[in-house]
Amino acid sequence: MRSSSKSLWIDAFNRLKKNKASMVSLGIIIVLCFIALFARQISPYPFDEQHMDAILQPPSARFWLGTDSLGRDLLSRVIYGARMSMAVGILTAFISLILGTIYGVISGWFGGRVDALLMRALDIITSIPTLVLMILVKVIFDSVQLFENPELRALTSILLALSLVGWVSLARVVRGQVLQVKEMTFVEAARALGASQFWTVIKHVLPNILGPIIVLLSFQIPSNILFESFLSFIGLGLQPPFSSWGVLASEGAKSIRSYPHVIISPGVALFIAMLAFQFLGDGLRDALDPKMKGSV
Amino acid sequence: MPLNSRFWAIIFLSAAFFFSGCTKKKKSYDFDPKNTLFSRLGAEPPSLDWHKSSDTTSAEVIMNMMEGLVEYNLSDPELSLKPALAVKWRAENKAQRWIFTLREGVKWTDGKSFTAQQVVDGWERLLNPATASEYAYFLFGVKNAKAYNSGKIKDFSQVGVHVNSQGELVVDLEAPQSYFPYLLAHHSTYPIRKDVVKKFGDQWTNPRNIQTLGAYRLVKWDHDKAIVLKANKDFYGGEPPIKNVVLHIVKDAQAALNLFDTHKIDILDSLPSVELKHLRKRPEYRTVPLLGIYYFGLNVKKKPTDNVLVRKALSMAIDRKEITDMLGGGQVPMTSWVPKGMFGYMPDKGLKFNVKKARELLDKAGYKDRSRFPTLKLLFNTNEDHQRVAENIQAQLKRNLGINVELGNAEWKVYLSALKSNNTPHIFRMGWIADFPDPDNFLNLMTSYSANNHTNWSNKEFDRLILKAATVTDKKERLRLYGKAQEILVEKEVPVIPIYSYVSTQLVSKRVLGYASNAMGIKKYKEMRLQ
Repeated sequence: MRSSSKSLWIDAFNRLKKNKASMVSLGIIIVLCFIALFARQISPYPFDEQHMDAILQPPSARFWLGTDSLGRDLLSRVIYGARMSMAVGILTAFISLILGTIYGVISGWFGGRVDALLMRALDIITSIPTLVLMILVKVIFDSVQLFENPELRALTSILLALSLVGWVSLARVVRGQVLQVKEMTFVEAARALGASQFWTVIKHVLPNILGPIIVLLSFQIPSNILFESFLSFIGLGLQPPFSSWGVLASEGAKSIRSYPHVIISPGVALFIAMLAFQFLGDGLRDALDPKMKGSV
Repeated sequence: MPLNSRFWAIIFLSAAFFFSGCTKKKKSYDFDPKNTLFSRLGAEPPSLDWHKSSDTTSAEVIMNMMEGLVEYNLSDPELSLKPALAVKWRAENKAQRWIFTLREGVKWTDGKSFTAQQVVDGWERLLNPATASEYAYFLFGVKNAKAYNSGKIKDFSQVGVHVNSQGELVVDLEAPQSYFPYLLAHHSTYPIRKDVVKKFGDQWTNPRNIQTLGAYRLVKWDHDKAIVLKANKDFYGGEPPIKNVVLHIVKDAQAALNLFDTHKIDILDSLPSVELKHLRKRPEYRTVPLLGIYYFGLNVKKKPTDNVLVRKALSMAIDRKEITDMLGGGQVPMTSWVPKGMFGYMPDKGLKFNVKKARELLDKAGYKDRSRFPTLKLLFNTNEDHQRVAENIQAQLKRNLGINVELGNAEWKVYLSALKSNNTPHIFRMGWIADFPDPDNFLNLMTSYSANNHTNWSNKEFDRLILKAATVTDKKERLRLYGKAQEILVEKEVPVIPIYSYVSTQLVSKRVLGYASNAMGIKKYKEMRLQ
């Protein structure tokens, strides 16, 4: 069992390696993660330092990407924005993964009435327009202060809002996969050998549905980043002085008439990250499930 | 359903939506541009009820559809008064009694005649505690008005205003008040049609219900979109040259700028500061000092701003010049309270920028360990320039004092109600533009009985000084009293942090003639013409 599962992953990775676009994207994402982790060390200035003698400067040797309307270095802000945007993307994906998997597994494994009940509840949540739900959750959780760290404090409500919306589709997929896998002979065998339900799920069901979950996650991260940018753009996201790419774009839009450089850099950063995640997601899907190749 | 019919259904429905949108837009604001003035309001007016509104947006609309007993001569830089509903007025008994002779033959928009009693009705409603008007204090100089407003007197006939046998309006004051007629140019003292208010209740300001007697009448109020005014043919001063006025409600300054560039609006003020560098070069650009202050209020009932040492430290830790340089519109940095250009302007007063002293004060307040200082909440009304100022202050306080400030913002209407609630934030942004050119208008703002004082601060000595100064006619003595009052306000107690004295930056289309940019920011469409 162990050796066969190992070769499955190696197989998948070999398939992924052949996909050039995915490999380049993987490289970009690793670089982005690196930038996000070491934002403080990399950026030339602190992200919130205001240079009042250099307001709305075009790109120059002192400020590589220019400055914004408060004289803050845009390069530092974009780098720092990567930290916030990536944090939102990955953390929300992680929270929705946990929520969605638990929900989906319970629903799929127990089936019958439990399944029907849980799935109808899910239908109700799905029927609320995503944006409305997100804004509602955001407003409610705005007063929740779980963390001392100012960065996490600023992120709390947006993380919760995005995760509470994001886990729904994951739960659906997990449930479908569990329904499929639990009929398989190795599950039956494990149960016949006396494994407990919990053990069977952890040890036999979950590893076998990991592929589709990973694929879904790789699509969810960019959509989370995009949603955060969107919320920030309409003023519901991060509050100043924190910056994410969405916040930067929103600030840039205010001075787009005369100073377009302010919106271009976060826009390009967002564009590259989106593209990279999309290509990697595509590649992962093809690699982990060759039969699905080409379908969405 | 077969694909074909579904396809046609979709086409049909979208066409229906599309065209319904088109026709509606056309009907609303498509006036002949030759005799229509297009302007912009920066926000939806909270109320067009002139006893209940307290903001400049509402005032702009109200002042064009109503008239007071007197009005400003806007082409005079000193802002002298000229007759409006009153043709002449005189003071008796050393300015303690004022007598106004009213204009005859003035008609409301429904044809009814204007009478002196309607002025009295207006004042009764303004002072009535049930109206809860923020401007009630305007008439507190009138005999017994304050007592009536606080409910001590129930009978309005005891208040010092009545109509004499010649039909003149006679006002008796508690004490002499040299600037009293100026108050009557303000919308809160306008006459009112009691019958209309009674009949329609809260809905009386609807275009269908409202009765006015100014140069324009309200014909349309599409909330959050536009207000349309039409020339009043029966206006006592003759029908104004501009026949229609369309006031587009555009919150976003950039969008408004685009509208100006495409000739969709003729007058635009409060230009976004980031664009000033370019706009300054244009021939349509105008700038005029305003009698107004931009300040931050502090909630003195909330920890830690309840501590006067903290408030002083905050005020001293903010470099005003850094802010005015950033905005770059010619604003004058200020630590005192009365704006530049007004009697009583004392730039020396107030706490000057001093980081060292500010840090010491904060240490003394018991926050030597800055990590114990709670995060302050700063609220401002949504506007990109207010955001710039707020973000700068956030950075300055972080840099100079090492404390954290969290920013929040809300639309004007929501913002005002948040300030009036019990949950006022630590720091809030406010501005005040003169209602009449006298320092009393600014200092009165912070008295304990002013409804526009959202800081929870009250000081008996301050109240006493302001009440006294209002009655003093000797200029030197008044100046001394206002100096003392400002010391209490911005040096000793510091419930407010003044930032700068306003400047109005405007773009005025060349086709608009006769618009006198003035220090009070008043726009009278009836005095304008179109080329």
